[in-house]
Formats: sequence, C-alpha cells, structure tokens
Amino acid sequence: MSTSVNNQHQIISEWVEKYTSDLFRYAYSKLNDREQAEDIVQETFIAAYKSIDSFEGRSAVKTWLISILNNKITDFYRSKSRKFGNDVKLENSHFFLESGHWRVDERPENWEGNLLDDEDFLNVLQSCIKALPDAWASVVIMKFQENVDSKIVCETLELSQSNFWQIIHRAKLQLRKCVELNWINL
Amino acid sequence: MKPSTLLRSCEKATFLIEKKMMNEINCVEIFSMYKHLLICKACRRYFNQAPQLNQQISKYVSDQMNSENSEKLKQRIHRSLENLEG
Repeated sequence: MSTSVNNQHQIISEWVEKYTSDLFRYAYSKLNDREQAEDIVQETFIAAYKSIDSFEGRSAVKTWLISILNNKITDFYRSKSRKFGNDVKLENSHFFLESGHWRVDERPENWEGNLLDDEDFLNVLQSCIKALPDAWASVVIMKFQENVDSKIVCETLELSQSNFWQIIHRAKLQLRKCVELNWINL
Repeated sequence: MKPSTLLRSCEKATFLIEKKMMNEINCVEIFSMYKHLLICKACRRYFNQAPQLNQQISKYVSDQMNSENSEKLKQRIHRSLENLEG
C-alpha cells in the first residue's frame, strides 16, 4: 500500500467518525427507512473514497459529502420511480366536512389509558409513519428529531411555512387515526 | 381571525392544536382554540391525545437515530472501506 493510499484511508476514516451521524440523520429523514439510509450513507463514503482526489477543499467536507449523498438519494428515488416531494393532495376532506366539522367516522375515539412504551406500540407507530407519503414523513421525522426549529426544517426541505404547517396538520391527523385503528382498538 | 368570533371549524381547531403543541401559536389563536374546545368534545379528545402521540413520535425518531446505532454504522463503513483496498 503506498503512502498516499494510506493517507487517503486515514482521512476518510476520520470523516466517517466525524460525519456519519449527521449524514445518517439527513438520509433517514429523507428516506424514512433506517436500513436504506444506512446503505446510502455507506455508499456515500465509498464514493467519496474513490473520488477523494477530486475533492479540492473548496467547500467544507460536510457540504461535499452531503452533495454526494443527495445525488444518491435522487438516484434512489429515480430508480424506484418515486419522486420526493411529489405534490400529494393536502386537502383534509377525508377528515372534515365542508363546514369544517369532523366526519362522524373520523371523530377521535376515547383512548382508555395511555399509549404504552412497548415494542408492539412502536411497531404500530413505525408502520403508520411509513404509510405516510414520503415528503410528509420527512417533515415529521425532521421536526421531531430533538425538536428542531420549524424554520430550519422549512429551509432544509425547501418548504414554505404555510406548507409546513399544512403537512404537519395532515400528517398528524393521519397518524392519530392510524394509531387509533391499529393499536387502541386492538 | 377576530377573537370575538367563535371558531366553529374543527379543521381549523385541530390545526391550531398542532401549532400549540409546538409552541408556535399566538395569543389570538390560543384564545379561539380554547373557546372551541369548550364546545367540542371530539376536538377535546384530539387535544388530550396530542401530547402522548407527540411524545411517542419523538421517542420513535430518537430511537431510530440513537448513538448506539450510529456507532454500529461507523464500524460497518470502516469495514467496507478496508475491504475495498483488499
């Protein structure tokens, strides 16, 4: 192994230590799938290693890595012919009448007791989050990680404030209902 | 929205509940939200359930991103980079 290869390996190892968590968070909130996000972060570092010579240090390392990651995420959605941020209908007519009142079937039921902190419940919640349209799940995941400021979520996902609130509202209506159907009334 | 008019729409009320949960609600909005809750049982339930649900979502998200998983991922990436050279 030549010295320069050795050097490169050392550099990339340091980057792995330093940036894996950030890249994973970013990938996870965009993909809403942990395994997929882990794979894509791994591929990102492999690609970075292979093209480390082209990194000229003009941008910050993290910015460079994120741009590689972003390309991989775009490829992923393209390959699945899913499009991130596809306009999903945001109207709430599923839940509410034109007057704004709850549809009878959609009214929240009384939840006896509390949501349990157990694995079964988390599995239900996970499948409910996965059932959301990708773009909505991203907003929810990003907002709920350490309670990030919504302005930052909007900037990162290129959303307007009003769009952000519409998505949160709609996603929460759907999650609440999904949890109620699959957990509360088991 | 004038504070004097009663908010009748459950759609709007639940929207305001979500803003309240994230502490991004203003005085006028909070006033009309609470007035609506006085007259609407379904939204009162929504309001009571919201903190539990939010708490569980936060817990789920932070579990997915916990540091143990991130250490495992780092190890996995280190190994795959070593294999590339082999």
